[in-house]
Order: sequence, then C-alpha cells, then structure tokens
Amino acid sequence: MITLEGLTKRYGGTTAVDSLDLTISPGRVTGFLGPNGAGKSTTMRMILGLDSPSAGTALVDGRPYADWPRPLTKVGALLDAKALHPRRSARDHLVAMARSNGVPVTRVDEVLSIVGLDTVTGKRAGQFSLGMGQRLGIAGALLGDPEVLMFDEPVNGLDPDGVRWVRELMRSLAAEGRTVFVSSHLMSEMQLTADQLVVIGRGRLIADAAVGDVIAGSSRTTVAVRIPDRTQFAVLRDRLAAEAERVDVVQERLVVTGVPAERVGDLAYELGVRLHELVTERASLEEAYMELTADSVEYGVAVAS
Amino acid sequence: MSTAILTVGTGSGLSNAVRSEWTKLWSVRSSWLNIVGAAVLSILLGMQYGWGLAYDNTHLEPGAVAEQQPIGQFGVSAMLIVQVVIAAFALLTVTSEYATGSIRSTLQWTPVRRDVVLAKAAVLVPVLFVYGVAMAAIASVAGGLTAGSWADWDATDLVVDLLSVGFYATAAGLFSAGIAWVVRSTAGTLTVAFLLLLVVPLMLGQASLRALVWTAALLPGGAGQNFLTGATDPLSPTLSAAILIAWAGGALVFGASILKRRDA
Repeated sequence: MITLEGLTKRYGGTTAVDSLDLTISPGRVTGFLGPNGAGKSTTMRMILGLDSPSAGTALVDGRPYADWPRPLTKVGALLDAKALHPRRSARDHLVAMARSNGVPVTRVDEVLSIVGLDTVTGKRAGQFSLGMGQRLGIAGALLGDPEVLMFDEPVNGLDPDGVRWVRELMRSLAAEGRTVFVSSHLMSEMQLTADQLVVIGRGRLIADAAVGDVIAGSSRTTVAVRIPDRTQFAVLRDRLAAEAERVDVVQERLVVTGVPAERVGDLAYELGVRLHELVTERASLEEAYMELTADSVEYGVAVAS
Repeated sequence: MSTAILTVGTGSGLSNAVRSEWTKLWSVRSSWLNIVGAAVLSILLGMQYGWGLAYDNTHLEPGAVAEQQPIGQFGVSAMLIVQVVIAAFALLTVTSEYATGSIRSTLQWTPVRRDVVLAKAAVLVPVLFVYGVAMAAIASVAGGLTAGSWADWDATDLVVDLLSVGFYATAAGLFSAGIAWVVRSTAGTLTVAFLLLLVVPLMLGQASLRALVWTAALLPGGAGQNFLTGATDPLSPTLSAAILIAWAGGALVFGASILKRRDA
C-alpha cells in the first residue's frame, strides 16, 4: 500500500505536485494518468525518495521508502529504463542490483527468463533496443519479489506482443495481492489493465475512482431512447429533463446524459411510455479522460472552431 | 511471475551496498583500461627516471658525486604523474553514474545516501592502496633495471616507499571521489583534482615566499609530495599525512552532505 499525505513538490515558483492525498491499495492495478507535466513522474520519484517533498509525506506500508532495510524487496519500480551504465552487461547490472539488497544472485537468472531476456544476458545494456530496455527495467522491478510495484510508462517502445505481456503481468501481479501503480499515456491500454484510476493535472488530484465509475461519470456516456408515439416522446422528455444533466433529441431519439439506463427504463414504465429502444452508449476511457483533464493540460493546443 | 519465496540475506544496508559497488566497479571495462593505462605510464616513467639517473651519474658536473638511488624513489617520482590516472579511476566511480544516469538506480537500490558514499569509499580504500603500491612497484623495478649499477635494491627502503605511495594514492583517490559527489561531471572533477593534487602545489612549492610554501604544504598535492619525499619543512611527514587524511575525509563528508540534500 502506498499512502500520500499532502505530498507537495515545488521547484522555485512552480508547484509540480500540489498537496496530493492518495491511497493506492493492494490487490488491484491503479492507473496513474495525467497530461505531460502533470507531476506523475515527480510523484513516483518522491515515493522512492529520489526527490524529497517540499511538504507532506509519501509512505510505503507506513514507512518512507528509505526506511525499509532492503527496499527492493518492498518496492520494485521501473521509472527510467535508461538509468543504467550502458557498457555494463544486463546480467551484471542485475547482479549489482541484487547484491545491493541481499537478494540471491540465482534470482537474477529467474527474472531474466521471466522477461524473456535469458538469451542476451551478456549483452551490454546500452545496445538494447527500447523494448529490451523496458524488459530489463521490468526484470529489475521484479527482482526483489516486492509487494509494491511501480511502473512509469512501462509499455513505452514495446511491440503489441510486449504490450499484451505487460498487461497480463500487471493483472497477475495484482491478482497475487500486490499493489500495482502504473502510469501511462495509452488510454485504451489503461482501460484494459487498470481497476482503479488516479488522474492528476497540474499537480492536483482530479479523480480517484474505479475505471467503470470514471467512464460512467463522463458526459460522453449517454442513454438513448426511441419512442414511436410523439405524445409519449414529449412526456418522457419533459420528465427526464427534470433530473438529467441534459436531454437532447438526436435523429428522433432522446439522448439522456447523467441518468442511468435503469432509471430511464423505470420512468418509462411508470409513465406508461412504450419504448422501441433503450441503449447505453458508453464513453471510452480516452473521452472520459480528455473531459477530466481539459482544464489542466500544460501544453495545450488551441483548437480552432 | 514466479511466486517463489525469496530468501533474502540479512546483511546491513551498508555491507550490501559495498558488495554492489564492488560488482559495479569490476563489471565495466573502463576500470580495467584505466589500470592498463596507469601500468604503461608507470613503466615508461620508471624507465625515464632510471636512464636519467644513469646519465646524470656518468655526466657529472665538476664537484658533484655520483650516488646510488633506492629504487623506491623511482616509484615515488612516477606517482607525481600517475596519481592523476589513479584519481580518475576513483572519481569515475561517481561521475560515470551521473554521466549515464545510473545514479538514479543506485539511489533507488540504496536510498540511505550516506551509505552510498561510504560504500564507494569502502571499496576504493583497498583497491586504491593496492593500485598505488602496484604502480609504484612497477615504476621502481623499471627504473631500477634501467639505472643499472646506480640502483639500490634495498628491500626495506623499497617496502617503506611502496607503502607510502599506497597511502598517498588512497588519500588522493578518496579526495577525488569526495569532490566528484559535489561537482558530478567528469571533466569538472578531473580539473579540480588535477589543480589541487598537481598543478597548484607544484607552482606554489617553487616559490620562495614562505606563505606560498605553507599554502602548498597545506594543499593535498603538496602534503602528498612532502609526505612521500620525507620532507620536514615546513611540516613533518606525520603532519603531512594527517593533512592528507583531513582532505580525503573532508571531501567525502562534504560530498555526502551535498548528496543528501540534492534531488537525484
């Protein structure tokens, strides 16, 4: 479990992370989303003690990362796959890593085969492709068999097979009861991987909710109803207007925002309105995300209308 | 994902960090290249000093007396130059991590920053000592062989000279590693080390002004030369050694205090 309390990071006049309160729970994959410059990487670096917070605390199972005696057995993290000596072999890199935390060296060969790098262990890390580098970073994260895993953009540079492999790995790590905290820009991927979503923008928390709730909460998630009788159409439209966020008429259908399909169906039944169609049109996570972060895009592009 | 339960060693953070640093030091080729370079340089310098002595002793100025020289002196003289290569060996253990970004991995593995500085120093102490002794021995033998009959192969003198060079190489290397934590770049650290270990003491030591002689004696390079040559003016060899230890320890403490405060 990761607990952030009032976590803040200021660089001179700019606030990169602004009093973040957050609990990232075990047993599920928590996706960490936000536009570029939202403070995702800085937050992860503060959790690992690489950056020190200007205020607030970041705790892993109740203690700062640096206070755990063998931290790699507590938290495995891949923040930057390039943070290694390019002329050291992949295996030597992991051996040095294992020794730093008293992890037996036999574990190095285990994780290398888990990530599928067992045939290139003697190759210098600097000669690895982007995808192989990511795999080596993931091997490092798994090395200490940790309860908490953090990944910053783990599928960066991976081919479709690799992306799918990472997704299944995350799911299985969470299923084993571990805490999995993963940032990504790929919404379609997050929709498939994450259970819980944390969205930040300009260093502030925008949302912390289950993926399903984030999508359901989007204005792009609507319920469409087709009613053959024009009088009944008007009755239901007026009734829904009282409790929906908005009601539109699109191609002779009622399109309702902010009321679930169950409620629309029940109302129609109460009012004796005959329906020919009742369908929920779900937003994609990408649409829901865009809507959430519309106000906090750091490097936004003005859209000509 | 294997669900094998890991049996993790019980070593302290520092002893684990030392083992990790040892692995890191010997798993990059640049460490070995540095040693080969220093060895070649030591041989060439030793030969130059040996031939130089033989030439001087056979081309004496009027009134001068030809004397044998303990071969350890060739090692001591060579160290004036070779120390820069050894300093580079030590400082690269720090600056290469900043150059490659691997410092972020190191601090993730060993988040107690004092332990990182201590672990690197703990690995460097025996390595630098052996490195210094070995290079001085190579230069001494090379010089002794080329000096021919002018070489004094007395074993006791040689051992004392070699151990002294080992001590100096350790102190100079630790000093360089300490400032590397502050400066971070290889070029910058090498410049500072080069100036304080070699150039400035050499310049000031030539001066006749007492204040400048004192300044040179208090700088790490000057203290080192005075210690190695057994000079008693302006300070005794014991005090020169103490000054060297102070520079090495001070640089490491300063480096650790900077590292502790700085975001990785």
